[in-house]
Amino acid sequence: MWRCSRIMHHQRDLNSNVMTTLEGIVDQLMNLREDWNEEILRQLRLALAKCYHSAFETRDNVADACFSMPTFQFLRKLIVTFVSDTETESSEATSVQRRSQITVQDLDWVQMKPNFVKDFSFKGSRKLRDLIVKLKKWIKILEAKKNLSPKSWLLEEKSHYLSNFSNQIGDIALFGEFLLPKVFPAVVSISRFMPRVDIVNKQYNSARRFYVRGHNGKEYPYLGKDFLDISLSN
Amino acid sequence: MTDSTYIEARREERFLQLQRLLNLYLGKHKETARRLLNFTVPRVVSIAPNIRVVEDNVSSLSLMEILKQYASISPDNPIARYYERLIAIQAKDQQPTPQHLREILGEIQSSIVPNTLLREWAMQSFYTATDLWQFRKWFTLQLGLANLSEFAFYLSRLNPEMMYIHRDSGLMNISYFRFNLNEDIGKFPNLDLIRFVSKFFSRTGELMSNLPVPFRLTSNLQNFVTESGILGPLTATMISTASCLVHPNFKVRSIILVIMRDEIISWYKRVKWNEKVALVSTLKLTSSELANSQQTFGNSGGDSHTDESSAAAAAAELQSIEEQKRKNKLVALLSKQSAQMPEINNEELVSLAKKAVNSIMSRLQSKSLSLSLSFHNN
Repeated sequence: MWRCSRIMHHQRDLNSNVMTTLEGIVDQLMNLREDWNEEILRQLRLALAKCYHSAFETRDNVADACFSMPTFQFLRKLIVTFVSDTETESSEATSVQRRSQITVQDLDWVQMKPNFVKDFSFKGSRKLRDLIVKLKKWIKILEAKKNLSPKSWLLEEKSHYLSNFSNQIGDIALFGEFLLPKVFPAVVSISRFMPRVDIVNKQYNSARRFYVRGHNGKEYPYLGKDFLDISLSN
Repeated sequence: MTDSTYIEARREERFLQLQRLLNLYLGKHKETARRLLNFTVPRVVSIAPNIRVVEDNVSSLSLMEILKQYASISPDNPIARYYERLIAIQAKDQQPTPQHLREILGEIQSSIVPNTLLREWAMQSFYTATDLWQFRKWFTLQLGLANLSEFAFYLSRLNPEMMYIHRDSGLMNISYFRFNLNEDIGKFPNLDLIRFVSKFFSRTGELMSNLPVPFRLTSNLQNFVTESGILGPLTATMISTASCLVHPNFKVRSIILVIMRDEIISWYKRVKWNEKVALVSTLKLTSSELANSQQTFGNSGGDSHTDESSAAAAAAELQSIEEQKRKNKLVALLSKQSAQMPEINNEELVSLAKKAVNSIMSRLQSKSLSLSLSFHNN
């Protein structure tokens, strides 16, 4: 790791303009993260997929199947992360903790919270079928809430740097141009970021679609995705 | 929420990299170049451990989205119906026989998700017959490629939400495909450390092939591609791709060795990390149990009056305190070392990588031979 950071520092000394531009772009693209309700929705969908997986494995006795310890721990973690009112005192709060604090303060969530905790704290029997029903119910509630929010927004609202970016600030190639070997003239560089950002729903998560115009005039759509933990669903 | 998110991202990107490398050879071999066979690989760049930027096509949608949007069917309905039927059968103290399962499948196909769903969607999406024909042809070729790679490279199962169809070209890409390494860690249990550790030696880093079907060709896909499509372009795609990858001049074997080497190193780190987490959690569990038992001992020691029982209680208490101290030390040591990951032994790495590549190449060769024989016979 330290070798990587040494190389990057060296690069920054050599090509300071390009490196600082890249850093700026990456910082601003971090604004394309999901909201709190999308994140909870994603975790619930993953939990549902995991439940279906374990339901299939226990299909010999469907009526009495119970869910496993890891699932139970996952649910507890979910409740603790998004529902607990305790403020973190450490100055190095992780991004998850910071976002969960934003969640905690949101009014809609505050209203939904008690029901959420009641539904997902399993004290007595841990039947898989009950959990599946509850997960489906909460997924519906959160999806209905998500449908009310706007489907697209302007780039200017979230990031001035990206909306004012142009070729003259720095010569940056399109994302992924160097994944395949190409001769120099064939590499397309970013001319500007188009002003409109759409919210697109994929199976497990919602992504932000932004358009980049290359120096060849063509518009390339890209998706900024929060990466999901697939190991839960497999 | 966990550290494993970026590891899973790297696993997927490794397979995408392999596909890009193999595309070069598909373009050089005569049979595959004739059919313009090329893996559709979207450009994926990680800009932070948990955010990725993916090249997108506005007209692409997954099989699951077709189900939801075109047919307005929730994917949970067939699953719920299946389990309802299973419960009904099990209530009569029977286990479902293949006959029962066929009936359930027939019922779901006739009432919820018909066989012809994909074909009807395609007919509705494309205005002219030429467009539909073109789309279907490209889709068949891409399906052949995806199916062959799922079988030959021991990949994770193709779910409907993983298959993205591009409506403007008929190209298809599979997202979240990963190599299926055996990661069975075994159960966590008991206090006996030696038995505990020895259970971990039974896991292997080999490619798993325990999927019930070699690749995805469900009745909806069959209906869309049609029988002549399956016997014709689909089979021909698979044969030509397999024969291209087996061609000794292309040295595909050494490319796969490099990719598998990275895969096995990351698998080893994953397994070691999980072992440590399991060990720490088990030790914490036992130390808390010991603390509880210590408390009860302390209580019973206070209540009992006879010398023998108090002496025995005191001796047991001393032993449990020592045990707890030992385990606490181990926990502290492990958590200090958790930042340092052990490296896999070089010989083990080489042998595992070679084993994986041998199994992949043998599948490709058997596929090219057996398919070509059946092709000539038909």
